[in-house]
Amino acid sequence: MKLSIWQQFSSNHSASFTLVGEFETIEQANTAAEELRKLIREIGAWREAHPDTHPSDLEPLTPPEEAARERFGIPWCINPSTGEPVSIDWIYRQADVNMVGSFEKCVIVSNDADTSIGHVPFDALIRVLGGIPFMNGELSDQMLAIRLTCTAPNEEKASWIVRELKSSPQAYEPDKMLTLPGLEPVYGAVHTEGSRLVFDYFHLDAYMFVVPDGKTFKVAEAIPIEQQLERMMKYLTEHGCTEIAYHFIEKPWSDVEV
Amino acid sequence: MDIAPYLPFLPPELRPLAWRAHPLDGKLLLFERDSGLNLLLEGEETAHLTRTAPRTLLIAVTNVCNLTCHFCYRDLKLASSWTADTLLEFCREAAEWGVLEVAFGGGEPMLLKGWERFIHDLYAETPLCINFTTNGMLLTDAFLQNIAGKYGNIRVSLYDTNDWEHTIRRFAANRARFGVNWLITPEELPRLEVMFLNLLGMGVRDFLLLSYKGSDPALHLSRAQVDQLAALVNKLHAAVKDLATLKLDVCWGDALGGVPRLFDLSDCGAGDEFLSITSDKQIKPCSFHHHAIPFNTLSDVRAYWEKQRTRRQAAAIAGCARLPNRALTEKGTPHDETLHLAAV
Repeated sequence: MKLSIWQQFSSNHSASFTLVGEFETIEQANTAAEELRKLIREIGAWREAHPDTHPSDLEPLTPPEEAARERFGIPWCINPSTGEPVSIDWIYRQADVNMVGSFEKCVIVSNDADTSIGHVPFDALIRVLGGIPFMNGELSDQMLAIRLTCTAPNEEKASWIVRELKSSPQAYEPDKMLTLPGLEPVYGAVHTEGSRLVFDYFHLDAYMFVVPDGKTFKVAEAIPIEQQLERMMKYLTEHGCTEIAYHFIEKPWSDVEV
Repeated sequence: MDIAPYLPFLPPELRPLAWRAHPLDGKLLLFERDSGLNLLLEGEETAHLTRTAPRTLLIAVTNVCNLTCHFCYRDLKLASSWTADTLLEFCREAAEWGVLEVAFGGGEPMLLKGWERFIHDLYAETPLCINFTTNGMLLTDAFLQNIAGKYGNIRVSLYDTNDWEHTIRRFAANRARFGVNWLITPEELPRLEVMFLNLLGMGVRDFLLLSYKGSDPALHLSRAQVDQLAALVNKLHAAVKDLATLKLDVCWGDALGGVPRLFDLSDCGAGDEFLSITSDKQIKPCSFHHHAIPFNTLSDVRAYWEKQRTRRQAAAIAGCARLPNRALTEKGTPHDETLHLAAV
């Protein structure tokens, strides 16, 4: 007997997310990142010790989560169907600690497993640890973006940088896109004010990566935000830019029209 | 039909599911409406089986719509004869006949009086899997929450007129099971990749790429554009892998050569695998077909299906997969002679 199995209509909606916590100082960011890693490591260790449990089944809180919820006094994830608190559904092992990254004053949490509960409770954790959370993802109405200003050596260099960033062969909506160094084209806007460069925004979002040369299609592998930021800073400093200041913002999805 | 003799062939973890049996010609299809799982058995043990009902009825529940899109193909003069009660009774009988799924459209199905109550009643009183296509403008969070778990799939069409971005956000926020219907025209082709990624980022995981059927040559793809689309589908499929489902409407036929397919189908299935039921109670092999036969009861529908199912009637419309080259020239213009012969 030959058997064929398939699903004829689409599966339940699940999603991924990216959460950035912006802190006052690098020290604060490092401390917060360690705190988040510690929590993920503890939950992962518990999961590894209980291989018969399944986070994706929206199970009750694990003991490390119970302890963290009590210690920080924050709301935890909620099962959307029952309203009951549930365990974080994307932490399976200690190695998931890799989902926490950092760059300068920013802590980045990005899951690479599907989740039904999104960024909760990590947004609240960032807040109690002294940061401001910014997020995007399929469960959010917002897209993560960065606003950045810096000073180029002179007006001519500033204009040159703008021209280079806008010189992508990207055929679709070139006016709305920037090709950041070493990255795929993303939606963004930059202008000069004398020798100052003002990036009104640029997105750092794996889902927005588009066709680099009009021929080669790929959903680019998500480059971690910390690496994207690092490449951006390197590019700007190599071109003599100083007084680099940036902060994260959230932009409504509707700002990007297709 | 008793499926007990076939259960031992299933993997043990799948045996307890609430399967419905749907015999096909020489095969047995098992379907579970809540998960959407299909299991096809084919072997000596199923060789004696014959199909006894279409899998799906496509039902226009009303001809009324809250939009007036210039490209809409429905006949505006058609009556809207269904009520929630008459439709429920019709579907109940269809389920007894052996139909597995109903796919409602219109007009706009959200405009049927008592639509939400109807979905609850239909789910409770029949084993049918309920699907519907909507322009999305009348959906609410409360409606989606209330019907959660009682439908298979909601489809939203991507038009210039229906603010689909808002609808997709609503679907995602309410964890709805949904997909998008996307008409691929020459104008759409250049932005397909970017649009696809944007939709993917918005949470769309089910893409149905529709071909145009009709007389407007500007909306048909040329042969070269069809090849371009096939190449794009291959790239998208390779890139997203299991992240999303790419579906091709049956009217593409074999035009998109070389794209990966789940099944090797030689026919679109119109009039056999599925039947179209209009808002004024007529039967058609598919929504685009020029033949429409009035009916009163489900017995009439059944008699029509049993008589016509093997005839494989082509629709006299440019883009029908049953016509040679889909009745289109290399440039994508309708082939009048072919269409004339199809109408005869």
